[in-house]
Amino acid sequence: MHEDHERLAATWTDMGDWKRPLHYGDVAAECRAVHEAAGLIDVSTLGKLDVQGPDAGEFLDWLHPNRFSDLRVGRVRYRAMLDDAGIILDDGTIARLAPERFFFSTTTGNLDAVDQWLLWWLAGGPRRVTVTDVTGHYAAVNLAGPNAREIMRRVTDLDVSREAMAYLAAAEGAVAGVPAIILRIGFVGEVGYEIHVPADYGAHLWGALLEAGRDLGLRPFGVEAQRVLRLEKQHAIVGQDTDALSSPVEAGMGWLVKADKPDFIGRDASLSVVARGPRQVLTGIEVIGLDLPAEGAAIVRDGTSTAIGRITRAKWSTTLDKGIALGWIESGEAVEGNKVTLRLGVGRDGGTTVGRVRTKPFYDPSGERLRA
Amino acid sequence: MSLGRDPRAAVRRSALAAVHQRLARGGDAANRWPMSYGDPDGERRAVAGAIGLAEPGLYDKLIVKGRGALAAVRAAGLEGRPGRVTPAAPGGVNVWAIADDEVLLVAAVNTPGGPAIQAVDVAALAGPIRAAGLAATDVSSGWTVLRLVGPRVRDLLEELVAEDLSPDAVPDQGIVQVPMAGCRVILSRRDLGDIPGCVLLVARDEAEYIWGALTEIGAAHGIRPVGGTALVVGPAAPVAASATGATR
Repeated sequence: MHEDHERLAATWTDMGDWKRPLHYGDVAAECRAVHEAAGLIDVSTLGKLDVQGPDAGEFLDWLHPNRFSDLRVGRVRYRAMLDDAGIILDDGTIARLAPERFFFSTTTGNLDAVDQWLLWWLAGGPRRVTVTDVTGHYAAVNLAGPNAREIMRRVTDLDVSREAMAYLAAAEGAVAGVPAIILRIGFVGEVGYEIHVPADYGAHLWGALLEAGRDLGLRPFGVEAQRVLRLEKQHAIVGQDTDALSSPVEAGMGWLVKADKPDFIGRDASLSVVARGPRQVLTGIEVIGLDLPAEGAAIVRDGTSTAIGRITRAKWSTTLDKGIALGWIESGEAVEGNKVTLRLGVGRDGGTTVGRVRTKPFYDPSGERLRA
Repeated sequence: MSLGRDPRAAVRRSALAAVHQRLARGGDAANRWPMSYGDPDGERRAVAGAIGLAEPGLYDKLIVKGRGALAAVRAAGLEGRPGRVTPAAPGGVNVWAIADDEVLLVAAVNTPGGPAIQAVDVAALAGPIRAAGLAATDVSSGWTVLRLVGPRVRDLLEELVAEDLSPDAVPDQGIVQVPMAGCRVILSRRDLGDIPGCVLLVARDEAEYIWGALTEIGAAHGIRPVGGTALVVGPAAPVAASATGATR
């Protein structure tokens, strides 16, 4: 799809080994299209693994703090992978396409590490599981927005109604005449379809969707708009909002850790964090005023000079008409509405602004739009 | 999911489609498979006297993995020897037996403007193979097939690849996996009649880069991109078959 993005005058950004469209000239308009009509983003760079075998479900249970052996065929579930110390290594989704076949996605930059991680844990063991890297085989797009379902209706005979293809459904079928894997997921706050097709048909799919959505306000959006939209939902980006000390319990993913599972990589470390309670948490912060704090800028206890955390990401949301951020903060300070001081630069230079802790997503906190 | 596709509804594009279009200078190759880039005689001379570089066609590919993979492929009625490509008749399934537990099944598909073949549906093999307890995964778009043919191919490969690829080390149809210009490449020695040659399987996302590296480094050896016509030997050997399978 590279040439298609070029024709759309994409501004490029480097992400790992890949080039991705950062934007198509107007980030605010791209965000607005996703919230008010529909947006289309190329997510082909996501790592993709085909995991098959009679022991695949049990193996995925071992690799993750949550369960996949009980995932029903035709469903998809969020995944975050931990190391032995309970630190988040990578995240993505896993869809069960058949009783012994799973479609496993990784972040753009972590594919090789995750692939090796899986092969390492399989090497010499008794598990009957095979792992095949299918990243190059599949091109993928995410179609999101209130008009996304109508656009899908125009390009597929599959029943994409809310009842037939509910949030977190996974299906296989033809989209724009091409065999596809369709995941009813999204990380940008609206109804979304992640569509994977053989890469030889990627350009065809991209063009067919843009054509089908032309009169419904569909427009392409890039990585920068995606970052804003994700931040509105307070979705952490592994590697950006997390680091080499981040536990899922402290990163707001405590619901992933299933203490009743007999064992999984990182179990003891995760349960020790649960037992002692989080010392710091990743939380949303509403930025008061027009100035945005820099990545890494300190969060300071109000009325003092005591640093209590740091900003990982801050963006201006035109939808919300305010600055929003994610940051790590001492757990005792992560109270809804708590007023904090935000340094604008890293260190003491650059002045300060005021922030308010927001523990729920900035946009659609109940998730109704995502599940619509 | 079936690999079968409705050609009326969708356009299947090679990873090198933009390269073909540039070489064809916006000509017929924009929508048809490049059988030539405008100088078929010159392209044949490159194959006969120096090096021809081609993407010979589009292929469906099914990878079979697991203990007993090659045995399961044989049980499905295909021939295969470890470390070798077993070529098929035109339109058949070429068996790339990378190892006993990893086999790639490769079959040409019809392309607009390309040679007409009776293509087989590789996906039909997936069912019985999976029933035998093996993993079978469609990787059709994941790998691009490249063809190098010409008397100076070995000179070029000596520059690009550290491994010994001489005929003594790699017999005709033998498979080796080598790093080439920093990328993983699965290479099979495959002469074209009496002319030395090889077939390369390269990752789709690296295909354009590898094509560029071969063109740049091969310039000193007289390399030239060639269309399918230049790869035809004898009266009626289809180019798609010559890429991964029978050539004479």
